[in-house]
Amino acid sequence: MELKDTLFALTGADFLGGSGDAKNVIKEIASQYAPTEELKDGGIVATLKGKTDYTLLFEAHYDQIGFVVTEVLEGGFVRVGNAGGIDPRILPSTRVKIYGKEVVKGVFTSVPPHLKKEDETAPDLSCLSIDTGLTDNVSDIISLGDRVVFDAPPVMLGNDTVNAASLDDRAGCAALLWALENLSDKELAVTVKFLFADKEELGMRGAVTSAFNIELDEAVAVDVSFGDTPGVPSYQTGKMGGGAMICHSPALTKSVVDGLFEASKDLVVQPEVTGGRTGTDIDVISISRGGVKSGLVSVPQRNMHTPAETVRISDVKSVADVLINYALNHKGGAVK
Amino acid sequence: MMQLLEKLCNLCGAAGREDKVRDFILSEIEGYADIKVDNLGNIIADKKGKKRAKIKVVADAHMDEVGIIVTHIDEGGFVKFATCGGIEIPALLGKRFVFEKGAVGVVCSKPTHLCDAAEKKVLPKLDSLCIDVGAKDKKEAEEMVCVGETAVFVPNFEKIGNLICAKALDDRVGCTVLIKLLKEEAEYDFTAVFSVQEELGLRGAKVAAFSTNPDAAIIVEGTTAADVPESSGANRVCHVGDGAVLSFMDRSTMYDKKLYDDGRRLADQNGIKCQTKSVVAGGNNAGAYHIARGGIRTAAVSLPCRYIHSSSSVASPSDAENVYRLVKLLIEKLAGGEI
Repeated sequence: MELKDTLFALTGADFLGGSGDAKNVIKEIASQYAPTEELKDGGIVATLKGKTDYTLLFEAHYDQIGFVVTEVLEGGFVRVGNAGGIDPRILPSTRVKIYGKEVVKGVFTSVPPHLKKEDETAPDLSCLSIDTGLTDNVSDIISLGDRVVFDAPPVMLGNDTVNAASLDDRAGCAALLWALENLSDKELAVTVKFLFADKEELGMRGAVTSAFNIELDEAVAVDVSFGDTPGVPSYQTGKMGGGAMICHSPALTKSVVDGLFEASKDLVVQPEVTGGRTGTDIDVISISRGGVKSGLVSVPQRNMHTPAETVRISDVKSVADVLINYALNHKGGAVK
Repeated sequence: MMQLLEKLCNLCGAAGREDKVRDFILSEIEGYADIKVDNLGNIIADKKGKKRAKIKVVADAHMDEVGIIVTHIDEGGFVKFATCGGIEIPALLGKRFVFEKGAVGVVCSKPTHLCDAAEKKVLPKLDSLCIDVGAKDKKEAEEMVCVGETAVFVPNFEKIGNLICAKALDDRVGCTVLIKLLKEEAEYDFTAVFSVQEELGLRGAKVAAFSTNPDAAIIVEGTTAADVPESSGANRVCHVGDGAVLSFMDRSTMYDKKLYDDGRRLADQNGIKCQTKSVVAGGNNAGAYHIARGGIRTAAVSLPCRYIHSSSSVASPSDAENVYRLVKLLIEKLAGGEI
């Protein structure tokens, strides 16, 4: 499957807190290339058996940020609380989908300028609501707790950049699916599992339970990280188009990180350095059960946690290529 | 009427770049009126009615919408811009734009993860914003967009609940109403003006008012409705679903009192849902018409729109119907010399 088509299929679907179809889209694609099962916590695992039982895990999360309905108001409006980190400043006039008894389209309210105070303060979630355009029977369709996601289906910007709301971390999922497809007909020294986990945006909870359910020796997580953005110091970001960001971190296993760079020597990649934990699922996977060797590869992304998230297809490909080479290079227990 | 409105809202015509809207309107009204396009690009369409008008009546709607214009492309390929018409910062952040030559981009913002507490409390300044068009550097960006090119919110008309949500309802609803009036039989002669550059300060209307030289003008517009949970009482301005808005005063115009009163009365008598604005705010082409030449009696009939000047204005189809009915009635009564 073309990488662009995979990215569009994955970001054309939603998933937050059990609502949406992205999990099924992933399961369907993955099962074309390997036996695929769903864990009881919603994690999807595809397995490529190798010559040994030494298990290398590649992981990405398929949930996305969004909101939950906290109040149904008069006149077709609802209030929401955030599920995941969201910048309320971007919300006014942003389109959303509410997963009620049916999918309801809506838009975040804004108050016109003449009703605002002189000092230019940013809106926060408590002074915003969602306009559903429904004039009656709202409570029949929408209930407290219903999930809400940004309504920003994928589009191309230029010929290498995709913009969609859920690229964090469907871009990672797409890289995993590309690696799965390309490794599925290869002879592997180790068993490679691909985990698509839920609930990262709620504090890496899906990775905790899914990793527990898999016997594994080693894991490399794939997430998005900050791409170069005006107003952000360059040392905090990777370059868009600069390839996979391979992470150096004291919380990661040095030999795995070295192996990832070794696997990248003919690829365009860039280093990323974090001083402590990485803020991704690998932080919890690495301390699963009796401990797991760990690495992290990221796709540079702009405008994280907004409907304006963008990634470069070439960067997603670079991440996938790092994973493919790493798996092919792997000699079993040799990585210390 | 909704199909026509959808087509018009999905056309791109930033203020000063109304070409695509104008071409579409010209193709729609060809054969239904005596049409000319003036030096600024206003369409002036003289409609022949069954009877000669006792006074000359002009109905005006503007073709332009709020947008942005490229001012600079930096080394990283980021597009710097100015706004054409008033767009608030939150209405820009994270939104998609489409440029004249077809490039699509998103307005960038610093990720919330990297903002400190103080940064999160203020809005970024306009001159710190930029658009990512997916270019890797300046050269690639220049192949996609150029300095001086405009962009508007990506077309996105859709039904939400019982309402409609779209960019450019201000003022493609007015264009829709005037096209419909031109295409059907009229009682009396009247002139429809599809004006340019309203969002830049009523510039098209100024010259159209001069050259059409009417006795009375009716401005057909989209206006701010703030009937959201975050505002209350008079601050809500007007209400989506409560009908056409007839204004008594806004920031551009103190409306002709008799015309206002007659309009309210006629709406009542004819079962047309009609309301007024409870805040003196906003402005429209009436500001140009009512002081043109020696002064022109002017009324504004508006569609209540929530989140006006954003990618996602919300309005009611039934209100649009009431706007249409009230405009038609006012033209007839004015041209017939009854009010």
